[in-house]
Amino acid sequence: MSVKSRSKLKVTRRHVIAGMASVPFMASFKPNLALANASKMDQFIYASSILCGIPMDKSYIQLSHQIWQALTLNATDKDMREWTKLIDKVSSLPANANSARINKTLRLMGRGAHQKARLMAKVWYTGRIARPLLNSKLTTFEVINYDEANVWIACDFTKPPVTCGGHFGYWQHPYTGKV
Amino acid sequence: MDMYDVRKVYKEKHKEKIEADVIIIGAGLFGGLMAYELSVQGFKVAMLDSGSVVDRVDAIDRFKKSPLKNGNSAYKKEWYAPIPPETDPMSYYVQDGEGITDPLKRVEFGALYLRNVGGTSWHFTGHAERMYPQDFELKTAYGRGEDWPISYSLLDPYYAKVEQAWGVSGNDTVVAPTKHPYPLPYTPLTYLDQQVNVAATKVMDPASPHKDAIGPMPHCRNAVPYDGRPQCCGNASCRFICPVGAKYDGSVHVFKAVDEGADLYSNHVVHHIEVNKHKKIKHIKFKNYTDPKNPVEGIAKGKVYILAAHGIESPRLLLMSKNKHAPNGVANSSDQVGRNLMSMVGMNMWAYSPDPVYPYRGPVNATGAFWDLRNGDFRKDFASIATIVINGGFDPTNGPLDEADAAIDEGLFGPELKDRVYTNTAAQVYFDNSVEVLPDPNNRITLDYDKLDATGLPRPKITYKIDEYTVEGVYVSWKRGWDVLRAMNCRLDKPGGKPLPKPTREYFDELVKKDGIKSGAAMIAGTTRMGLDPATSVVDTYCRSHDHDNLFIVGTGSYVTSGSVSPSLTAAAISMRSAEYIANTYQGSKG
Repeated sequence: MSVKSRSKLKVTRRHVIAGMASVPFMASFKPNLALANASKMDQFIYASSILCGIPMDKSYIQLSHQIWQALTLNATDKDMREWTKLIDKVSSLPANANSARINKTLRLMGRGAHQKARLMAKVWYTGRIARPLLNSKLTTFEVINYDEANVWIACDFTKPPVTCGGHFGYWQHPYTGKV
Repeated sequence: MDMYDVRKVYKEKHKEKIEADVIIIGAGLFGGLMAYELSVQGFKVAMLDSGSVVDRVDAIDRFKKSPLKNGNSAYKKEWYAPIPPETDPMSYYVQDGEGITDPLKRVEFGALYLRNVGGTSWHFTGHAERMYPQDFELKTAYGRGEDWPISYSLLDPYYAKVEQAWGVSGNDTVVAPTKHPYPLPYTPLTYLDQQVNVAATKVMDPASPHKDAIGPMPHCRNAVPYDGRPQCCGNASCRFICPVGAKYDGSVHVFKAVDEGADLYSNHVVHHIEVNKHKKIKHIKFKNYTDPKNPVEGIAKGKVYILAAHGIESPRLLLMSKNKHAPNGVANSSDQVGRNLMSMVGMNMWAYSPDPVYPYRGPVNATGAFWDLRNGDFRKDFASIATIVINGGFDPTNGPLDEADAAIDEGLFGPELKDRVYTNTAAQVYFDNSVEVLPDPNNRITLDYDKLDATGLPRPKITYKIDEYTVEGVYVSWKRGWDVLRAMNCRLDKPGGKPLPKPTREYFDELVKKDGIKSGAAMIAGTTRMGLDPATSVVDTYCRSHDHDNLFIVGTGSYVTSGSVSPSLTAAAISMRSAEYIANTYQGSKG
């Protein structure tokens, strides 16, 4: 039987090597502490909830710090101003803002806002962040937290692999939970 | 003391000269099983493996940190025991003709394996399938391929013994029927399997003897607690690493053997087999890489030698070991070592169901498979086909993440993003096709002395192609898959999206012309084939080398034909029989 990965990722040998060699995420950079104060981090969590369509509360504080640091690794002052503006604007939206309204807000913010919002949503959803490799057009991925990626909340009929799913044979029944 | 305790407390004592009754090269699925059987029978056994002992907790951690999370991600990659990486097998294999897509001329060889204690079984599917009786007499039954020198009925009691040893679960499974009851209750079909079955049954051949299109598979993952191992709890990661040890792997019997007094030497790379003037194996040479910066040379001597290093590394070692009394390489007076390489091929298919079918639940790779086209008179015309319903969607570990990336790239945010990720992921249907490949002496592994691995040993050079018999099987399997997906009203890009293309022969030919047909199966067989005639085979029916009567070469390399079933159980049954023969033929020195 095939054991080939069916991943849609366009991986290369360099990806693999870089990926496998990646050190634990938190050790790989100097943290950017611009959002370290608690109320700003609350705002970041709320903006993240809006973009992801998934309610998140203060229990996400540790993961939020990790994701914020991942997003702002090596950020310039200009980047930081744009991040702050993005979070301010998105967090001003109501909790039930739909995709059209979020996109409209991003459009009004001008160039770069969409890109940053997409990156932010992707990192929350996937628990990984793409990184360019030095002196190369290739990228690698750093895994921030696979188990706590929002995709597992969105897909509540499953759970991250390597996590016990329940009693033997649960899989023969249709999923009956609510979305 | 159970295996987990043994693993924790066992300390290897390294020597430059190892002596034992039985020297086993490769502490994997077959080496471990034979080590246990022979240790129990009073033999002093030493197992040497090129890789390290797998620590399950470390492996899980490595798996979670890996961005790719594929078959090899959980395991250490030791520079001194290289393997073909999943993303780029050709960085280890050497194969000419890159870019040729005509499968009658070249098929890119992508079969994978691991080199560590427990071996490739750490990430095998856990499908413990018997071959069909006709697989052993393909020429007689269907006029294709060749007959084996052993029969299904001869192996039947050994199959049963391995099923007990592994704890195989099953009941009326899609593979060859057994007169013995499976030791463990069956592993239920997933909800996804059941939904596929509804559509597939509508389009199945009316002449099929089966009531349903989809049936259950036999598994060596515990349906109930068994042999000190826990019950499967559906971690959905067993194709890569079972975190609780519910899935059987080769390390189980390696450490059972250790518990019986066998010695294990990990990180010992065997690089030469020495033959004496009486054509017996004199000793083997290894390098101990426990301290990789200061490898230590040594030799191991025994009465009997068992080579169990899988279908690539075993012939590689035999071919590397040219010496005065074996000028063509060990066990190779017939020039058959490395020839008749077989690894199943296939083209898989995937699409979105209109309704949620909930993949990513239960054991991966699969619980359900198609009953038809595995065995029957059709094999006069085209190759046997194993089609399984993958429980892991489009990608067992990153599939849902990929859906999120795609939805965000499309501009979705907020509740629409969450809904899209759920809807698309819950609708993924994926079929995996493995199609039989017939033996061809020109399909082979040789050595490339111009391309060396990091230890200075030659890398395996592969020559591989398939014939029209197999291509036809690939086409039939591909068409059946698409027919079932169309019967499910599946769509190409999302539920309710673009319709699927018609699976015409022209479209198939177009795809093959563009991308070729891939070999990505775990099976690697035929390279040390079994036979009665020393001129056309490497080992006899006990897997004993025709050239050297104290050398046994076990594993799937002994296969005469491949069939399409998962290969491990049959090789384990043959290994059990070899161990019994050794125990009856030689005198152990232990106890």
